[in-house]
Amino acid sequence: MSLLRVDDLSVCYQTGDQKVLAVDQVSFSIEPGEIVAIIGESGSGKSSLALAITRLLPRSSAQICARRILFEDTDLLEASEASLRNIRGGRISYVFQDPSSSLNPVLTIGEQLRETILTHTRCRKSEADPPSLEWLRKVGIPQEHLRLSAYPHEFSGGMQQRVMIAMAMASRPALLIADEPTSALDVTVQVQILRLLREFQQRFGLAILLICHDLLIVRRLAQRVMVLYQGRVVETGAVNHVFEQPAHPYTRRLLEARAYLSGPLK
Amino acid sequence: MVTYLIRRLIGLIPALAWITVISFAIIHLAPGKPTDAAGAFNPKASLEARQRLEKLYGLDRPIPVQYLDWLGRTLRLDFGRSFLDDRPVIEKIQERLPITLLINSVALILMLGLCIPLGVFAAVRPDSLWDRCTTVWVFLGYSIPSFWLALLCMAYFGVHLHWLPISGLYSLDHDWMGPIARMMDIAHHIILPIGVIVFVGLAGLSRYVRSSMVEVLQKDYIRTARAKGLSERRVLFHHGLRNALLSIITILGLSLPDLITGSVIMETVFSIPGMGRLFYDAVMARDYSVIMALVTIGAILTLFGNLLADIAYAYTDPRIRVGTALTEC
Repeated sequence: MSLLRVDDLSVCYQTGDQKVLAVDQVSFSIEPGEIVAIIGESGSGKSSLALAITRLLPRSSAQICARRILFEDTDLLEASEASLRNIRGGRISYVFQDPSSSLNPVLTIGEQLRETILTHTRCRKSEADPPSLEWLRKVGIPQEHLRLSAYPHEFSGGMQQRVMIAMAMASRPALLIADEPTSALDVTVQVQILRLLREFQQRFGLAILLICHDLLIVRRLAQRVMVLYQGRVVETGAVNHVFEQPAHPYTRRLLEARAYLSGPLK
Repeated sequence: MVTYLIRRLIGLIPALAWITVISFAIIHLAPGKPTDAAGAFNPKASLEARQRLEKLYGLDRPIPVQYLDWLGRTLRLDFGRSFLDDRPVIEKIQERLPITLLINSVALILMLGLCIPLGVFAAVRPDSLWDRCTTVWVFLGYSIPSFWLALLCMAYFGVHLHWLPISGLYSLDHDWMGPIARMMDIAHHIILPIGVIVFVGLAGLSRYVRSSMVEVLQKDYIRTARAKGLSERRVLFHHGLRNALLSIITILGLSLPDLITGSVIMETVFSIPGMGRLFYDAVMARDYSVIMALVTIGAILTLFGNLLADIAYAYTDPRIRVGTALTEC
């Protein structure tokens, strides 16, 4: 059985009198321990889709409709707010694009990390420190015992993203939704973060929904890929298959666009 | 941190000195002298008598000399005597201060306690019925002149309903009451002024809370907090409000002097013998020593309030703590 099954998910934004369809009847599934990538240009609805899965979009402006969003026997569309909260950050975690704005500037790393552990595991306040430290170590932050009392601005971008990943992993989720986890980081750090994600996927059998516009990353990391264009899935399949024999003209253009970058810059 | 504080405190001194120089100059530029009531307005007083009077008060000397004289006395914490009734200025302030302090601190505490929930609820659901109601009320609070609102309240609650006394601080039989009854009597008298001050002040303050909360709630880290599965209450008050309060701290620091200087308008309308009235009467009588004492105290408090806001800021915002305070130590 699939870990996550999304059928005909549409997301619609209401701005004034205008209705914008950001995601248009998207269906897909993710198996346990699988890395699925969503690629597409900016504005193609990737992030809306990611947030819509656990209904994180602002209810005042965004409308979500779908036949069902089935996650581990729970239909997230019909789930109560309380059970959604248990799933968010507990069974489905997020890592967002820009770690410098995704961490709360006035709370320490420790406070923010402990919060996930306290919310999603049966753990008393006094017992939250050892697992926090352990996760900081697992994501590769040196001298982790000194870091719990540090504030996000004292960390570099790569370290901040490691903290975000530690926060996401601390509750041992089944699915990690990584919304462009490396686009705000420089290239050398990107590789480290991606290695970390793959390590966790293999070690914990974690499924990852990777949202990305970097085709190279997708090719190296993901098993399956979905190509999103104007809110619709135009092509889906195994990574190698899609990259070698793109069926849809948009996918072909997307793959060609990469070729320009390998040539000299004028 | 201590060195930082000392340096900041020393930094306040030049600002304070300039404030006193400028206010001293302005008061003396204004037409009229404290001796006018007894001198120029009195047809029986001869020129010679007037000059003798001015000499007695030292008003015949050049203004810079008068300033240095005033400065010397003030540095020894001697604010001099009132030109009006020859009582020590300190004594006059001591008499008025508790009243103003009581009214304004109660009002400020009420405003603070109310503005946060009001602003937060309006921010959580922008354009909801609650938000619209508070918007209307904010416009009312801003645009209604406070003296007019005070008069309306006096007419309705005092004259029409007979619920509350309309002016002063004490009932006629106050002196014959027991201690508890006296306190109740004063409390009864200050309900209306405090109510009006809170209504008018709360309007703006809750709007500040609302707008900074609306801004904070759109930040990425709020989305992160929600994605972590935190309860809405924790998202709002732990992650949101802590950031939103940063901008409110500044306003609080600036409202510190209001606690003591008091409101001239409110105290006049309600006939409350507080600091605001003292200042107004002193200006009208050109009572230089009282004016300068009040201006100096107000200036010290304003500068101090700013400093306090900076310190509070550093405590809530770790980025500032490292950025300025600690590196300057």
